[in-house]
Amino acid sequence: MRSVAPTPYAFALALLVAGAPVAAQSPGRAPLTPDSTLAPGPTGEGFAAWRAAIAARGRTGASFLVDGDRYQILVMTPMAIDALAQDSLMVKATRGCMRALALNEEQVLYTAQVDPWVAFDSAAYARPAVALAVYPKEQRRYDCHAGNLARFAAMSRGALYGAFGSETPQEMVGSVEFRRDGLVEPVLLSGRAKVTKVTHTRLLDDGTEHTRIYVDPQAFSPDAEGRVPQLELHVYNPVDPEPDVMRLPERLVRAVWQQLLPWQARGLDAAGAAPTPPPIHFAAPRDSALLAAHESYERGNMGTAASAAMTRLMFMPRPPQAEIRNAMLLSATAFTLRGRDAEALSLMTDIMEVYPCLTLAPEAPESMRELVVALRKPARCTAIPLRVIALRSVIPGYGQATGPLRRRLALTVFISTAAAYLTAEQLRAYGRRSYESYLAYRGGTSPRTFTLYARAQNARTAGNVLTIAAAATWIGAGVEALWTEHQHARRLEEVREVGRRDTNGSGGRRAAAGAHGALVIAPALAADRVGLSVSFR
Amino acid sequence: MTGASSQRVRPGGRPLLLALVLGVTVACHIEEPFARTNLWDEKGSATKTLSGPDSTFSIGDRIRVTLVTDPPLPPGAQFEWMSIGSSDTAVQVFPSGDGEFLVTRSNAGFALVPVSAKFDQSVVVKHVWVGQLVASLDLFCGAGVPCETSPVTAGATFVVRSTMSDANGNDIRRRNEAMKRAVTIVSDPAVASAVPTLPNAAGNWTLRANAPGSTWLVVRMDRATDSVRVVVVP
Repeated sequence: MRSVAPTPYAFALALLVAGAPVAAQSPGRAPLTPDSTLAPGPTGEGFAAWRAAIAARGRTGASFLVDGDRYQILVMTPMAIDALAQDSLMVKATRGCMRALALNEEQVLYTAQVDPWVAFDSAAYARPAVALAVYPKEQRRYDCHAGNLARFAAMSRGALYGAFGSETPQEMVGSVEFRRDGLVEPVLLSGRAKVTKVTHTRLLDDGTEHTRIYVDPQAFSPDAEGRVPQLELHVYNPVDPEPDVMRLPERLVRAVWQQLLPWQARGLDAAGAAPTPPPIHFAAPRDSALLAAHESYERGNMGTAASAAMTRLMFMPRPPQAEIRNAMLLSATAFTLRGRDAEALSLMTDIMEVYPCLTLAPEAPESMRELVVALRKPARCTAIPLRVIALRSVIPGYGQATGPLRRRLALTVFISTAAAYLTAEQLRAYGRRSYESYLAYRGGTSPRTFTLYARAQNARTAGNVLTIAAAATWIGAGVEALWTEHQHARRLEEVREVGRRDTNGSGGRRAAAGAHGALVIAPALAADRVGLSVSFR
Repeated sequence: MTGASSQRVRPGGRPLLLALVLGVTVACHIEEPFARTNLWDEKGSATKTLSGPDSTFSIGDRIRVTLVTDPPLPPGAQFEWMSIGSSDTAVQVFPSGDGEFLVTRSNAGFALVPVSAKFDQSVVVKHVWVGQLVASLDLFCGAGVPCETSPVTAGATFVVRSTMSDANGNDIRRRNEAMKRAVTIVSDPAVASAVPTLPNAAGNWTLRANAPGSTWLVVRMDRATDSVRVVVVP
């Protein structure tokens, strides 16, 4: 569970959206009871069973809280709705606030019965839908809920905790409109319910309401070029004609979209269709769930493989990093093979953020290879020989100066080493001067020998300590540079030509000495030049 | 990214690493603690000794000592000669110049007196025995008359008195201490015996007249000897 910071410029941005007419007329108020039950639809067949299986496996799913000036929005995926629906979380939240709000045990247990959205959640259960609940801003919130999960669970039931004053009409939630890139998106289901205000010694129902809408997850999908859509909620209060515009942060939109990818992957395998031979191959993971996904992939069941892999990634404990990467690549491959470039792009964007030097095997689909090139961020994708790093480390910090991200560290090492050494020299020189004064002492003056000697020796000792510190920094920086470069080279190997069959799909390969295609940068010395030579072995 | 890939990695390079470590170690030398060779440093390693007489025997004697130092005493060095005498003030020794001390009070009982040179808190000391040796002794009876002119009746006891002085002519103080070192001989113990004579501050010898006749009392003390003839009558 995460909370997401408000976007203060959301309103200004919303006004600038081209072709987005600012609503002059608010949509109608949502009903208190569901006016329909959502059918699975063509893309939701089997969704109810799938989400039930997910819920049975454990708590997962993303919910986010977006704070605005007057309102706050809780965004929940179907999996999050299921995770937050447990009564125990509600009781935990209230019990956490029991002392702060002077509640009794009866009131704590009573809050388990507060659940105004049961009917709506049931009506929307069979269809993939993202819920967005809009609440009035809490005036004096008490953070006493025993954790964010409990707090979000309570919020999902309309329970707010703290001290409340009287609300003006401008602070009430009238109706809500959902827009994607400035255009109004249809809402699958909408409703309103009372807010339960858990305040000092009592549970207050003063008629304040909150509104929830259920929207199609496709509204969160990126466009064909991978751009995250601009999603806004226009929140109307009962009196003002103009809405408050609250924009959902891009990270949130992307996370919600990715939460539903495991389900969407299930639709990749058409019934009765022949398996698709995988173009690239990955090492068999040790994680059992990922191994099952890997086997499905090797058999050509792309949808099953991608869904299983991404479902596994929703749960803790996290598999090893390399297995996560391969699982995401496997899923991206599956989407690519089915022409679902938007989903593949979403996954590849995440992969390339972490592995900017990743290259795919020549056997990879051309579109994926192009994606990798397009998504690559500036990074140093070459390794410097360790001998060169060792030589460079003779100058403190130069071994760290291998790229822009380590420039600050390099500078810090250089400055700290040089400063420590120079200070040590200064101290030792001062010690020597003080010692000369000590030797020149003839009696009868002040300071006496004890003071003079202590001054000299203390300065020398401090100088020695600083010298040791400088040497330790120097040596440590050299070792760090070697180790970091070694690790960098190892990571480069891991993500080089990922997916080659001849490497048993290891997701990279160990380049032996003289391995084909290895890029080597080495010092070059000739009669007319000194520098670095770049060669391919 | 064709061809853009990692190169061979070998976490070796040990010679280079070793060279790096050695270079750093050599460059960053650690300096030894300073030597404490100043003569005025009480915790220093400089040596200072005083040489001179081990004892004096008369009031007015001068104790001359020589200060030897390593390192040599620098020009313009400031230090102080001092002596505190004995704790009961029966012996007093005062500095009287560069390396010289004057005995102004002493007695026949010798005391070990420190004479020293003080370098701030650092003090070099030599201990000297200071006292008086008897250089001159005169025995007599009564009010300064020779004993042979004052016969003593047999069976009576009588007193032989004395005057003593050191080499500088100063009276011996605490004569009982000197008498402890005295050797007393009566040439004819049948006529008189010096028993029992206890050391006393007056410097007197008590004798018993045993039988008529005459005999010699001989006293040898430190560097002086004297004798008197005693006559016993019936």
